[in-house]
Amino acid sequence: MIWIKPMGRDPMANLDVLVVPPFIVGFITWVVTITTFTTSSGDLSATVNAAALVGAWTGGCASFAVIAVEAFLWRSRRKLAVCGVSDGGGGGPFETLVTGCGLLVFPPCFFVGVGFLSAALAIVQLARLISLGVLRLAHPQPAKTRRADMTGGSNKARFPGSVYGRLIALASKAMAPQSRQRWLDSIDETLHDFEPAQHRVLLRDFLIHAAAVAVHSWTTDRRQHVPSSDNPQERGNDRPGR
Amino acid sequence: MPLRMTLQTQLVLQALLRNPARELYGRELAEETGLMPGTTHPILLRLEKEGWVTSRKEDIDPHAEGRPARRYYRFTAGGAAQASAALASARRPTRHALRDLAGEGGTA
Repeated sequence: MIWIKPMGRDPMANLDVLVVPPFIVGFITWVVTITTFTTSSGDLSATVNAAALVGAWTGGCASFAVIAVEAFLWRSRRKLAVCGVSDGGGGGPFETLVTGCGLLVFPPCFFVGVGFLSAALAIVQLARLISLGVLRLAHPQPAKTRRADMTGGSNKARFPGSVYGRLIALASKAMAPQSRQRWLDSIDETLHDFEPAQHRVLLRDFLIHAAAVAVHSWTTDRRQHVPSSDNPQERGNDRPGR
Repeated sequence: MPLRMTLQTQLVLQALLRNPARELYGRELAEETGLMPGTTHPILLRLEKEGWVTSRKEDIDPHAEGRPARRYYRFTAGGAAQASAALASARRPTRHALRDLAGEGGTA
């Protein structure tokens, strides 16, 4: 199943825990409901439909509960920094599409009596997306921490506000790897060297010129590429003038 | 393709030419040119690609020093001469244009 893939250090990474228990709960509810209704009313079709609805919603509620517990544990472990724009997300739009499709197939599946499966999955997925969205709104990712860890730079170098951090991360993705690292290093250096009051303006300036860096990074011949900050062998080499 | 000599490029070259043997890092360049590091970064990349300028990353332990490693820029062996020639043939920016640039890109 597409949505049961691992998602890095995201709190939703333990999807076995997230998906299986709600299913078990939903399935048990479904069995109990269908048994109860069949013995009481004798109308199998109506019973199956009702059971599917109950099973689906129970599974969905169970998934909400599991997600809430998971999020709470995650928060208490102070791992908010890993949930963000760079590597926290799973399938993104694809997952939304899957959810949408799940919700679309809900009514027909419901009426043929197997709606529990798709409906529960759709609700689980929807619950997961809503919870993630709320969590990320409530706790924006401090992208600076990830940057500092990645570059080995000082933790004093911070991106002020998550919006700039996200925009910087987004813009850097448009660059070739060599130039991307160097551009991010340059931002770190700048933010360390200038007063915090100037950081917003400086970051805006970096973002304005990000397109030029991206274009340069992809148009530069690999043989003449800019030395990477990660490769000591390339440091300090003079290039012959043309 | 010849290097496009924008006003910003000229300012960066002039800053480096004041003492061609001297290495400048981001903040120093910003102070010398009046441009922000975000503006000078792509210019320096272009100059490096053209072989006029070279750079090296400071060899320090960022954790020990408490700051990220700086990247220092200086002219290559033939870079200064090429830059001087290019600046000489380039249209000199007017004082008004320089004032506008300083107003837009002024930093610390």
